[in-house]
Amino acid sequence: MMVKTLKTTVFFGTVLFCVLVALGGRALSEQATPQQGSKKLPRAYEGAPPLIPHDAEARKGVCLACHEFGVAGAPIVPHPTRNHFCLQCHVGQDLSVKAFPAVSTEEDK
Amino acid sequence: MTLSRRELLKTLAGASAAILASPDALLPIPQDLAEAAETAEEWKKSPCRFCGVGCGVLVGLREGKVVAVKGDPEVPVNRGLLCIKGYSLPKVLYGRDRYNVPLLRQGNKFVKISWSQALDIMASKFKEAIQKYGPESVAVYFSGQTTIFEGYAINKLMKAGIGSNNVESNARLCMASAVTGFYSTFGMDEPMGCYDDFELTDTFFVWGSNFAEMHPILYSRMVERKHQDPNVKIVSLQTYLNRSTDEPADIVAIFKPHSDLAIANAMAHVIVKEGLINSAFIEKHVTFKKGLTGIGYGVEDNFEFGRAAKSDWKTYSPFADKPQPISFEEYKQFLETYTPEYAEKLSGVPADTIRQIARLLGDPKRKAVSCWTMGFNQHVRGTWINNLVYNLHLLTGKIAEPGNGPLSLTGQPSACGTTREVGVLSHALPGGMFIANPEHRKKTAHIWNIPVEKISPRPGYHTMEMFRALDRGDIKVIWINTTNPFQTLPHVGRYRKGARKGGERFVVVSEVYPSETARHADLILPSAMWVEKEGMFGNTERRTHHWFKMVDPPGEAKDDLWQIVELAKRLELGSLFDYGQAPLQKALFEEYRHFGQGSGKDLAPYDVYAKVRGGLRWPVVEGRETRWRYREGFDPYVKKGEGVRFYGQPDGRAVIWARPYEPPAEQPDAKYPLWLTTGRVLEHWHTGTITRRVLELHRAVPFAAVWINPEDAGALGIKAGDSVRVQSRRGEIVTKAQLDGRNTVPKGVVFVPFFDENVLINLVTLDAYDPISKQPDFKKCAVRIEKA
Ligand code: SF4
Repeated sequence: MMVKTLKTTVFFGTVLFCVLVALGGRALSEQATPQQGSKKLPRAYEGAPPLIPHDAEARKGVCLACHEFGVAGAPIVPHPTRNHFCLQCHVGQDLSVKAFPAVSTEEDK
Repeated sequence: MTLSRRELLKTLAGASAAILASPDALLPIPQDLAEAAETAEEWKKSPCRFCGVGCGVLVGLREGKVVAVKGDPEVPVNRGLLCIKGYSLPKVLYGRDRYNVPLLRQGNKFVKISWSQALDIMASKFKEAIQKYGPESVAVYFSGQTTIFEGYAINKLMKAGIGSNNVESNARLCMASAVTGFYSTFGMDEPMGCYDDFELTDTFFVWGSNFAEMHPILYSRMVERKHQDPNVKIVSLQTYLNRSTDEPADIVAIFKPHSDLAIANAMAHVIVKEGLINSAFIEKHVTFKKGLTGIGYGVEDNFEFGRAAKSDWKTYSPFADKPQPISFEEYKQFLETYTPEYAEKLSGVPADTIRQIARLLGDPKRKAVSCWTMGFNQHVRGTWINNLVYNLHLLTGKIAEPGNGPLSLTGQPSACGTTREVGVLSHALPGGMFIANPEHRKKTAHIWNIPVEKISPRPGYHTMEMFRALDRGDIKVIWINTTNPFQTLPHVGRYRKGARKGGERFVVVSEVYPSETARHADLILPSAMWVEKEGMFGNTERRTHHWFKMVDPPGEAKDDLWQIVELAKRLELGSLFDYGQAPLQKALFEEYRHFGQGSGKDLAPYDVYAKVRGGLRWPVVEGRETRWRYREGFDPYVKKGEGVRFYGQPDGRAVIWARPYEPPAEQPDAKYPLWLTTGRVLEHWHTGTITRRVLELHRAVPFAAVWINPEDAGALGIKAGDSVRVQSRRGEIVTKAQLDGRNTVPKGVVFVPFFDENVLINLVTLDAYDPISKQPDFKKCAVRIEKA
């Protein structure tokens, strides 16, 4: 039960945060990807699910608070029947991370 | 672009309706779907190569490359949807460090050699060991990602040709307890129900499985169901909060690791005490049994019963349970101890919550589906806890009918299709038969057209003993294929060292990318993967999929079936795979099919699978698949008038087992005060060997963190992002602390995923196993943490 209360607090806290951000203009996406300043990341290929340009973990469970109606310029979900398991297909990106393996593995070979 | 995507969505919507109306239909890939993709020239069908859900994909091809995938809208498993691992399939083939030539170790380096050199060396090592030390000195360790063709071929080469039963699969680490659970309760492996139950039930029980991350598409079917009908209830019993305890779970119960044994018995206690049993069903279809207790943990080499054998491996007799019939009354007495209050003491779950969950399962107006995976299977009492959940469904008669049934989820794409059904295990033969059974050896020898004496009656080493034998030096040559044991075995430090102890040991590894196991090899063979070869997989719900080769593997990489046949030829055993002019894959499958025919495991002809999108669920009798086994009207093996028959058991009755709570192999104490549990994340497949090469997946989860409870962290002055040492009696790792995000662990528990080769958490885990299934327990051992 305690968990549910906690979740509710987190949920409303986050909604409030989104609303504040919305009122504050474009801060949200800029804040999340300061280096790139890009709201849209290139897809892996044509037809691959769009990537998330902000921290998805910290906002888990509240995707629709912004993406249902496009708060703060957030893209509106184009597939309303599949709105309940977003993070299954859409994943966040730490753009500071280089490709794996980090060094050439020629010697491994 | 936008238009075509909209068109595609329309196709998806229409297609799901069509497939529900006719699940058995053979469907060609529609033209308009192909047109919807601009990047690909051509689309072909395949299953996803990752998890046991077994989603169907359409593979987009252009100029000899895979350039895109889509969820196949005609496949009832996923109806057009995929998870991010599925969507990443086009990229998994093209990592920049793919192995593309055979490599031989010279000191600390690997040098390129030709295939004929590589195979000659491999064959001579096999021959030498067999000659000097007998066939039991060689072993193969394959995978739940091995195709049916490959699994069948390696089984035949070892068991019919070389005369060694040292054939294991990494599926021993992931579903052996599910198998022994099925056999002990039903006398036959694999689920009676199927995914269709997800749309037909109204109550879900999820046990110790974060299936929102590990079986994402199936999880989304449960969530959809809940959103369509608010009367649907979801109960999530877990050892920590994760995505599977998030919305829309109705009841969340966080239990102390290992106490599931007590909770399941307490639920049975409530169901019996409150008269929620189905007496007519029990009378007709159930018997009661108890087995041995105090059975030990297999931490010792040559483990027999509760201890190590006095003799060495050559003469020891591996542990076997001794079932004894009991009465319903005796079973009720057994349950007396398991009051919800007693279970609360062990588990930390309030007695009233346990009652509430039990009443939901017992409610005669409700249906019930239970799901579990590694929480149950990777458990030193894995067989028992599988038995205990079957008990609940048997007591209430909620089994083997639409919307009612226990569904053991499988981790790997072909743990069922290959390892279990083909019998790629040291005690098994194809078609659910056993090495130790003379009748089964006779039938096998007949189909293989060899003298029955060729098949050794002695089961080979199971996985843990196999790697202990390599360490001891009893196994000289091992071929590891499509799996990464030197990252995934528990207490892996011992087995990594063992592999490189030298002497006459020779480790051959077939791989696609550099891995911890490849780094421990003497010879690395570059393999083809997924649609670079033809294959067949079998998923959780008995569904057999087929795909054709679509693109060439890079450089000189070769498919594993070719590698098996070439080795056989060099061992003068090529005749095992001589099918004249017939295409090898088809010939192997048609031969393999004989094993299941008429035994309840009937498979359709090869040509049918080659055509059907999404495959078929066995038994396939007279062209029709089976959705619910053991039930008249659905299962062709149940005769008219029988209603229900568990025909795996000689008396047609399933077994309710009295299985007690027994403590785990290791528990937190003053020196190591925390539980360590390990697992996966959605974005990475197993050891990350493939998925970490996909930039989007790597950037999504670049390393394995240790999840710590904020209170525990606070007490040690650890903040999120700090470096933390996680230490057990066996080894340690250092990684960054995480306190929230997708998981929140309770006080006293830490969680570390195993995908990261730089955070080798299996240096820390304990190699204790379930003596019945021989599956190790990766979910609990004692650790301490400190700021590093
Ligand atoms: S759910 Fe499993 S089978 Fe389906 S796309 Fe994801 S990894 Fe592949």
